[in-house]
Amino acid sequence: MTDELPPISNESNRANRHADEDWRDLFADLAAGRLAALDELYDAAESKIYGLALWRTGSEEDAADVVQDVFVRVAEQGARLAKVRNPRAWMMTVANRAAIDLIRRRSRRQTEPLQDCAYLITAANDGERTLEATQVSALLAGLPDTHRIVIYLRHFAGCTFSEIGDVVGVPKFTAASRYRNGIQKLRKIMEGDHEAR
Amino acid sequence: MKPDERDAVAERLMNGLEPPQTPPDLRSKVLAAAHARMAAEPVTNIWSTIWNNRGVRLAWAGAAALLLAGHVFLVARNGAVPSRVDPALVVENHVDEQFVDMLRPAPISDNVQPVVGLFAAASSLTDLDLEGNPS
Repeated sequence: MTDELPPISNESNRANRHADEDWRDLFADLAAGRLAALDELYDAAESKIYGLALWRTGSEEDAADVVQDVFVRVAEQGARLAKVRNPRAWMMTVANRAAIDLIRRRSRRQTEPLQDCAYLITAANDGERTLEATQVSALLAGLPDTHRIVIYLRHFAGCTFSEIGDVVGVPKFTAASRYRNGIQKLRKIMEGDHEAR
Repeated sequence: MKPDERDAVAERLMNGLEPPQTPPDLRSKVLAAAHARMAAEPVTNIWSTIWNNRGVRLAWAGAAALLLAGHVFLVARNGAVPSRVDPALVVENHVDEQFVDMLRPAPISDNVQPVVGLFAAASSLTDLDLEGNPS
């Protein structure tokens, strides 16, 4: 890792703490039977869950199924939701498991190449950035999904390594190790990509 | 890299990029399914029924207590199961009880007693008939 580079801002971590409080409130509302909280929870969580499922499954259709599965499971919990200490990590865990279940059920899809999956897109309609997004997506497709998912959770879901460990079911240090290995592999793929040109 | 710090190169690589948004029609589909599940009767199994129903819970606890009391009563009435190995023999000879059990010859019939080894009764050597049965 290049230590001379400036540290990353902790703004996203602060934002996540606020989001965590909101999610806890929403879980408490759902536990109390307030149905409208489900809509608010969807708006707060859908992009993170969809992204995780997409990075895990490599299929937009499967990712949509996972989002539905997660919210149905949330609805089933009822009053037990009040006991969830970290709703964001809990929902990510449910989403990760649902995605893995889906992959197992549709094992025939594992043979399909994931190179075409758009893991990342540009917010603006910028031709150059769109090309970049396609290239980065191709790089990410070259990673094992266990490493790819950790990068997603760290960069786009704002999870700590401790939370990532909880989500993917490994110790914190294993999660950190997978992240570092994933980044190293990403760099190697990038170097190979440049050498190939 | 410090704990929980994001890799700067990966950060730059993915800067300005984001995962795709959910399909627009997914919201209504997901929420309809979730609301339907919330409105539906909760799925219960036999154990949750027992746990959540006070009467059934008491009946289950009563049955368990009755079985336990019956077991204690029967054991107390019949007494402890007699040991097949004389404790005095074990103490005197410093023989492990399981080892003695392994060496104990299987009786041919209830009337036949072993005549050799540690298990022969003190009086059996003198009171045996020709077939080896105690007289």
